[in-house]
Formats: sequence, C-alpha cells, structure tokens
Amino acid sequence: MYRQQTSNKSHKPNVNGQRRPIMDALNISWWLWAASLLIIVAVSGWSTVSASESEPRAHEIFLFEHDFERWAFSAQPQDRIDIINKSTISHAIYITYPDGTVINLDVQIPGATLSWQVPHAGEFVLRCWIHPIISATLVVDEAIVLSDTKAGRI
Amino acid sequence: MRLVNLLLGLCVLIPLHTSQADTVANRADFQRPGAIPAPPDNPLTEDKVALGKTLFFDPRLSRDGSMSCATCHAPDHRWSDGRIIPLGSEEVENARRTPTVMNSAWLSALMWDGRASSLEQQAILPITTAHEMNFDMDELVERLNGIDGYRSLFLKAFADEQVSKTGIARALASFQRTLISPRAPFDDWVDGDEAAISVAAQRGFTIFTGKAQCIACHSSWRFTDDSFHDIGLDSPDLGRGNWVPAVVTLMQHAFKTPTLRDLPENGPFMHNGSMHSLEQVIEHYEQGGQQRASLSHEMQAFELSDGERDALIAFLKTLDGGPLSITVPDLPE
Repeated sequence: MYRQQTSNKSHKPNVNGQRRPIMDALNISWWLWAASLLIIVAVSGWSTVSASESEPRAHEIFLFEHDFERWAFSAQPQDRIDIINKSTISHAIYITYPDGTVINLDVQIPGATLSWQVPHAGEFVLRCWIHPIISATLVVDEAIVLSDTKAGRI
Repeated sequence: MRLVNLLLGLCVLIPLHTSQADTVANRADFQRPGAIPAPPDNPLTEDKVALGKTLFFDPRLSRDGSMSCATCHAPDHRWSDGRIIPLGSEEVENARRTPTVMNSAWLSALMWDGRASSLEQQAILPITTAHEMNFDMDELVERLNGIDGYRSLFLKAFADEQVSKTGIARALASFQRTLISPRAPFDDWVDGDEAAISVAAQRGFTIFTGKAQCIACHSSWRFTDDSFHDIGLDSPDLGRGNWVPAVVTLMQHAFKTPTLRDLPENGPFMHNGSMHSLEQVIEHYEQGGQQRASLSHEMQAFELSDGERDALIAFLKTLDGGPLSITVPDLPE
C-alpha cells in the first residue's frame, strides 16, 4: 500500500489501530488550504508589483548648447519627460509624433524646464527650431503589464 | 624689497596680458577639421565630384540654357554673386542675397530659412525655381540623357549611364562638399603661430569672443552656429517664420547665421544685402537691433570705442584666406 512520504497523522492509525475519517478529511483540507493561501499571497503580491510598475514615471532630458545629453531611461506611455535647459542659450524644442503631428514646446531660456507627457508608444523626434542640429529620437515601448503574464504562468 | 615685489607683479601681469585672448575663448574651438563629412548614402568619390563640378558649371541645367549654378555661386565672387539680390529676382518679393556655398558640407540646415535639410535636397531647389533656373527635373533628365558625354560621366560616378534626378542631386552635393575656405592667417594663429595675425587683430579676437559677444552666434571654425536668429533688421521678410508656426516667436524674422569666412570686401552683407561695410554691420549690433518679441536673446547692445571697432575689423579680415579658385570644366557633348 502506498503511503505518502509526507503522510500525516490522519493516516496513522489511532491508538486502537483505527483510522479516523474526520482526520482524513482535515488532512486533505489542509493541503487545499495551504495551496489556496499560497495562491492568494502570490497573486496579491504580483498585483502590487505590477500596479507600481505601470504608474507613470518622470524622466529628465538635459539640453546643452547644441545637443541633448544622451539618456539611458526607457520611457513608457503616460510617462512625463522633463526637458531641462542646461545651456547658456535659449532653445525652442518641438516634438514630431509618429503620425507627423508636431507639438511645440515653449521657448526655453537657460535654466528653464519644460515638461511633456508621452501620449503613446512609438518613435518621437525631438528637435530645436532655432538650432536644427539638435535632434534626438525617443523610442517609447508599450507598457509591460506584469499581472497578465504572471497569471498566465500560474 | 618693493622693487622685488614690483618685478614679481610684472612677471605675473605680463603673461596674463599676452594670453588674454586665450582666456576668453579656447583657440582649439576654432580648429579646422581634418576631413569632409558626407552622408552614408552619398559618400564622396572623385567621379561623383567630377560629375558634380561639370553639372555645376553647365547652363543647360536651366530651361533656356542661360544660367548655371555658377551664375549665382561664382568662384570669383567667393562662390556667391556679389549682388544685393540675385539675378532674375528683381520682381520677387523679399528676395534674399545669394549665400556662399563654401563650407556647406558642414551645414545641417540650408537656405536662409533652413527649409532644406541636406545639400542633396537643396541642390534641386534652384533648378526648379521659376525666377532662377526655371526648369523641371524630368525634362532635365531627358535633356542630359541625350548627351553622350553625360551618360559616360554618370556611368563612372554611379555605375549606371542613365541620368537620374537622384544622381544629379548627389553629384552636385558631392562637388559642393569639396568647396572649402582656403587656410587663413587666423588658422595659422590658432595652430600656434603667434605672428600670424597682428596684435590689433588678436585684440579684436578678444572683443569678438568677449565684449561684443559675436561668438554667441558666430561660433566654430566656420564662424556660424548654423542656427536661426532675428537680429532685428528693418526688413518685412519673416525668414524662417514663413514656414515655422507663428507660436514659435523667436523664429519670426529669423535667418541662418552666415559664415564670417571669405567675406566680400565691401559687402553686401545680411540676408537682404542691406549693408555695405563691416563698420555698418558692427554699428547695427552695437545698437542691438529693432526691439521686438522675436529678437534673438543673443542680441545685446554694447559699446565699442573707435579703436576697439578697428581691432574687431582687423580680426575679421584675418578670416580671409583668399579666393578658392578652380579650373572650370569642359562641358560634355
């Protein structure tokens, strides 16, 4: 007869050698409870993580005399981009969307910061009307929704 | 002891004075580059340059066969035309002075208003402009395809004897990329020859990079920042403002900063050829230009003495390395 290595007390005969049905039921229930609890904790934990990672974030781009400083962040839709003029001259940045729409930011005097919210995924070209040599592309990927992928694995 | 202190003081002060020009701006910022840039899709080759040179001087690129690129960008006029406004533009509203094509290999925006973003793009514009060469690219291709000499030049340059619009643009751009200002006395001074320019000119450099702040726009070895500024000229021409949204205030009345190399002796200067001497130009900047919302933030009035003005002009003249002459090509039949 097969016995589980992790046989619990429910399978042990009582003092009198008789099996106790209620204990059998409790044993089974114990595993179910443990498994359920594990699932609940795991899902709630992942949900918490995915919620924080999908919230919009703020990123900084520094603008110098005739160039943007290279940035290392990865932007997602709804993130805020703060463009900070670290140069000694004024700039007038405009952003060209993937569909050709052009958004003009205000003239930016030295030291000023202007903000722009990323509307969706795609490639956005940042240029300066005054200094056409200033040009950079911001590649925005779709936001990763972790709860979907984690649920799939379970 | 006092004498020793005085001597020590002089030992400090004298070097400070002679290197004053260097403390204001780094000479290395004006060093000439070692190579000519070219886009990856149109690398420079001898054959393309040769074809481009031939096209540049060929009046058959105009409808009536009377005008070539070299008509307005003439070698003996510093690759401009020496006119206030170009030939044929007398009836054109807000006609603009012909800019030089020298050093255009380094430009990131072309034309006074920057509407062309590459030499290849710009090369076609005068050919198809009504008051300039007044031609059509399809008709030009057909005309040149009928000339055996051009087919063999295209074959050498592009491994394809068929004349094409792209080939014409790329060849013209390639030739223009080779038009570079000859070495000037200023360049020798930048490279360490202290006797290359006069003391007055060195003082002028200090004023250029300091008190007058010309360097705010006339920067780099080409003395242009390739950017657009309203310098407050009395002109109705909106320049870049003609095609940039009106909300971009600073671009109204804004024009590209021209180079200060190879300046014509007596002008004309400015986008509309309205000034005819460097004294007149400097006076305009001293006054700060017309005060309006679009005036460049770099335009700040200042005052120069007669001596300072003379020194500044002496410096500007050191940027001239003489005319860039070339041998005019034989045109193919």
